[in-house]
Amino acid sequence: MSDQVENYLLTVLGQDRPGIVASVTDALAKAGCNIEQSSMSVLGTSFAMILVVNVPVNTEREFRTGLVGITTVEDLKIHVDPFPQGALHKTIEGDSYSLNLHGSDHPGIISAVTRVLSENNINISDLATRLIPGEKSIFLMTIDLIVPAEVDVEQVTDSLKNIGNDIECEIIFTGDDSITC
Amino acid sequence: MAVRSILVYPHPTLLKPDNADVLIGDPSLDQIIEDMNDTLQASPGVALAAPQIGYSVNLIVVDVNQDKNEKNRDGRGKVILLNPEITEQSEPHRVREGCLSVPDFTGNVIRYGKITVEGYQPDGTHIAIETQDFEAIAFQHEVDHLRGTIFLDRVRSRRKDLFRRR
Repeated sequence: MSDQVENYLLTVLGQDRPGIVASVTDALAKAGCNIEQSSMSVLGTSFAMILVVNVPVNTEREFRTGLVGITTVEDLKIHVDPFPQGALHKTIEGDSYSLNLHGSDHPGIISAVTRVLSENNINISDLATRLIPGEKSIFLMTIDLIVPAEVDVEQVTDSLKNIGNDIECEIIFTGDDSITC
Repeated sequence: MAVRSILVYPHPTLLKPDNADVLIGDPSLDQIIEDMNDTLQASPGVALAAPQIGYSVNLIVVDVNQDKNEKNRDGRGKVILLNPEITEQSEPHRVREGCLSVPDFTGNVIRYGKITVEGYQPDGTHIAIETQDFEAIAFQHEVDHLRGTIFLDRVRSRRKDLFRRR
């Protein structure tokens, strides 16, 4: 295996079924590729995966051929973009916070909350939402945040409380109060 | 003063599923305890297990009163416990933990809010400690270390419950 590698970002979309991850990672392993980081999720019947992959320069042809093969056989949409070296380990400076929200579902909840975060230069590192259907559907959202040191956390807390009142949702915004042992 | 290096995951010493019970009165015990105290004092953590500094024995030190966050300082001060066992536990709930041996991450894990931990003090006296909240979490975390378990083993979702430390 060559020491020279190129990094690529793969996005994979398709109808969910057993075996997609095995097929994609098998093709990558056969081309000598190393998966540096990945995230996979299923929404309803749709499967989505993003991966950052190190591809040895001398096996790039096998890498691309393998992916084309899976696209055809497995009926997946695979997109490949160059990914800058070292970009994976660049992190935005700040403190970890989390935001949990629940309330009756209606349009505009995510937009209202994320606008407050955006106006305060707070970065979202992970966001997931879920709808629990029922006579009155309940909307749940969890967000992981990076809050820069210069942000006035008290003011953000107040703003989120006000927005929560406006959109009739309970918002819990907490810092990383972890214990280190 | 002997501040020792804290072993970092995946060092094999951290993963040993069983460690030797400490023999009360063992002449090497004083040195281990001194190293544990000095290393914990110099660290940003609130508790330490002997395997974390390379001693494969069942010995822990807990002192949540040295936490950087004042509201967590609800413990009884420093406790040195030999051959500890958790004998009772109740009120499971989710907490965010970090580990001196996994310095880049914190994670959400399920811990018991109230426990009884039994063991021996360095002078050989048997002790049963009923504790709760942060101190209870620290004892559970350290007893885990003696079994080769780290908090990463208890994280349910790598995606949702594991966080890179900033």
